[in-house]
Amino acid sequence: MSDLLAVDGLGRRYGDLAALDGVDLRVAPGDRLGLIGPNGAGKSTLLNLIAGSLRPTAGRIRFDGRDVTRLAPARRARLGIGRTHQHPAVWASLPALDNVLVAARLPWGRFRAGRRAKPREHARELLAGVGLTGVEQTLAGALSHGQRRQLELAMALAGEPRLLLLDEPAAGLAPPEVEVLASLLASLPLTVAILLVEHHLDLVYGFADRITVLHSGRHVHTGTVPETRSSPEVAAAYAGVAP
Amino acid sequence: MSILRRLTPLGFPALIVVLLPMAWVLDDYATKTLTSILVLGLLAASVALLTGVAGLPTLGQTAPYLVGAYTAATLVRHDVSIGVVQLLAAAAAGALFSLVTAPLVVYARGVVVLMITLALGELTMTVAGRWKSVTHGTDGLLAFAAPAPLPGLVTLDTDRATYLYVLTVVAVLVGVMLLVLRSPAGALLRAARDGEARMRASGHPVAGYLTVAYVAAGGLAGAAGSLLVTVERYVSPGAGGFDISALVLLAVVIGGATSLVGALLGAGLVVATRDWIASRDWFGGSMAGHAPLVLGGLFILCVYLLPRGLLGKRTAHE
Amino acid sequence: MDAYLIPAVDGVGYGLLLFVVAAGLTLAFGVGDVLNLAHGTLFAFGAYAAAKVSDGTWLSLALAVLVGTAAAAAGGAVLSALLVPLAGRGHLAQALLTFGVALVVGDLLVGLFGPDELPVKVPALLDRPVDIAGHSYPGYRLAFIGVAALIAVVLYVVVARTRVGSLVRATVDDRDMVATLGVNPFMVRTGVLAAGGALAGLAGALGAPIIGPGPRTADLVLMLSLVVVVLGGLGSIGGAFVAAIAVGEIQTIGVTSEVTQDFAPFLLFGAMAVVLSARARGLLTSRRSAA
Repeated sequence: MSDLLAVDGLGRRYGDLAALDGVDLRVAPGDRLGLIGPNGAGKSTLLNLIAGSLRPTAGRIRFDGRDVTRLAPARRARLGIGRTHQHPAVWASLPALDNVLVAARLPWGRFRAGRRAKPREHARELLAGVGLTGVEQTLAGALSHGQRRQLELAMALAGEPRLLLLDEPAAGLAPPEVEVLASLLASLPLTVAILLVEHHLDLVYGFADRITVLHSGRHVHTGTVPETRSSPEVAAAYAGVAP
Repeated sequence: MSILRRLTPLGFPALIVVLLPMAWVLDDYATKTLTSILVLGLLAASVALLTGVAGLPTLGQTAPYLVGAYTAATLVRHDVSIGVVQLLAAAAAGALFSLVTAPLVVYARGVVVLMITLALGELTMTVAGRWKSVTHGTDGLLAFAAPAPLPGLVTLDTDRATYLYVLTVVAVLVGVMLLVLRSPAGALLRAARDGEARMRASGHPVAGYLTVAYVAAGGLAGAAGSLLVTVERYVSPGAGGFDISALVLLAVVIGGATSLVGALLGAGLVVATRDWIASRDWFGGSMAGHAPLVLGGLFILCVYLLPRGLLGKRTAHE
Repeated sequence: MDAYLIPAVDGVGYGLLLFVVAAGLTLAFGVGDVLNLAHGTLFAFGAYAAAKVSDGTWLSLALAVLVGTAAAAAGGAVLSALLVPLAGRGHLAQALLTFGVALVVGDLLVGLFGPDELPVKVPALLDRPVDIAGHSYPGYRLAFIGVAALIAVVLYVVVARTRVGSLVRATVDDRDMVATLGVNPFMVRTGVLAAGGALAGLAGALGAPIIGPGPRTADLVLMLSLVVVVLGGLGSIGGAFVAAIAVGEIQTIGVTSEVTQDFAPFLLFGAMAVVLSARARGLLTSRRSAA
């Protein structure tokens, strides 16, 4: 099995309410997977369960063959699961470059082997790679919403993840910015598997190789872009029909 | 921004350069006052480290302070007369105390930290008052012998000598802390304060970093405790009371919560204001015995008047 | 074992006293969103009222309780008013304001009533020993246990079974949701601080023969109720009850037993350590931290 990520029967209940119920998912190295569904479908819940900021009430998550279901988020990050947040999480009192530098460091401050020689150069490259130039010394708190998004992506990449979870990166962006985001996503390293949670369907259709659709916490469909676009179940889900 | 925060870019070295000649410029009384200010300033710096830099607001640094002071006093009473030895032992005791209590504190955030640290500070003071076999309870420990800073140096018999010793210790400790905070360690701590979720997402062990900061602050406070004993030649549980917690936190608030140097300046301002008010003839000269009243009043004023959300609006933690 | 009976009973009384006080603190914190560090001072209001008003008659005792509770409730309401200029400044600023008030008022109380612990007179009927299992036990304390237990039961019933109580519990669970119900937040906070204050004052007035009024009273009561709240878990009445009794027992048995005498204050440390590490990152951070 060359699955990078294997999710089996994953569920998360709150009392009687199931935010997620019996979801399976497979991600191979380098995959481009889109995760869509109407509001309340459980997309963010699934993402948070994989990242570790939520604990499941049922099911199992395996990453690279290893059971990570009970591991803390920081542990999972060190194993190679990176993520961005719906509200861009940056360190406001540090300059943009320092944000990337801290994100690039291993626990207790060392840089990864291979980056120890020129960490600042590498950080600059990452910033340039996400389209942030000229703001190296600007405090992250002073950046615009869109710039913070870009910065957080650079920070996530700095951790050299093998699986990158993107939580609605287009939220709050104007159409031209979405265009920029789309080309940014297209330029991400092919060695990194990417799970893109999004509401912006065009963005997902343009990016993903495969799409998984959730509805009311359950898995409804997985398939290629054409398959998804023409799927009656997916249409029904978005039309508000109960699964 | 607080006036004092604007001044601090002038540099910590500048502050030391200004303070050094005071040993010869001021009279004995002013020298003693300045010495006490420096001791409290070091304690305030430990509060600033936790409150401003690490994001753990604390009313409980008087605990490692007392632990350090009693350690130093006990050493003095057992004829350990080298100042640096007392200092290191007190700092180690304060750090150890903080290491042991760290799990109580570092998993909480915001006001809950205030709650827990307040309880810890009070509990420590209560232990100091009750553990008669070790601390002599509320009678306190007399530690009369003046130390020699290093083997071979003369003992600190004059106010001037004591002042210079305290100034040196504070300068070295705060200077080292400032250097450490400029290093990657400082960035890791500030990032943890600004955004814990992102730290975790980047693989960093936040609780571990906070524990290190907490232990370091405990060491600083313990060292301040040793200096207290050198200056006052005495320690009692009251040295760690609410009004000291208040004074020190107030100093940090005034000085700008994230600045260690600001904490030193803030301590000076608070003590000077308190003493000035006490010397006034208001209410028939009765203000002198009412330190808590004055401090509390200053506290309330500062909370109302200082616009920088006091300890900063760190939305990630509130 | 026998020697521990009296301190154990004392511990229950002490614990019940702390429970009522801590309930007030939890109310202000959980519902009003204010860490009221002047809570111990409000207890002291009640205790001083008992010392000064109660002269051994039942009427004066009733009056003392009334005065103490009302003064503390008023104090809570005043605190809420003092917090108005701090709107939007965050929990820390509010907590620190109450801290400043605690310092000022504490000093004023000492100025008003002197630096010594004041004795409290109790009605003659209660002022004599009662026989429990062959031991003689102060009548007032026994009566206090009864009354405090009754208050605890009433508190439980109100919180668990009434509409006001469910509103309280809902707010503790999800403040934003309740805000959408259209209740005036200032009135809620004032009501809750007044009610919390009333509980502290009531406990102070009734419990003055147990924890008397003096310069250290406010600090002691604040510390112990903070420990109870931290141990019991925020918003858990049952947890607060168990924690309060435990702390009460530690404070009484721990102090009287020769074995544990030196360690009684450490016992509280230890209890805090055990409970907090058992919960580790869980309960305490759940309400207050971001994701």
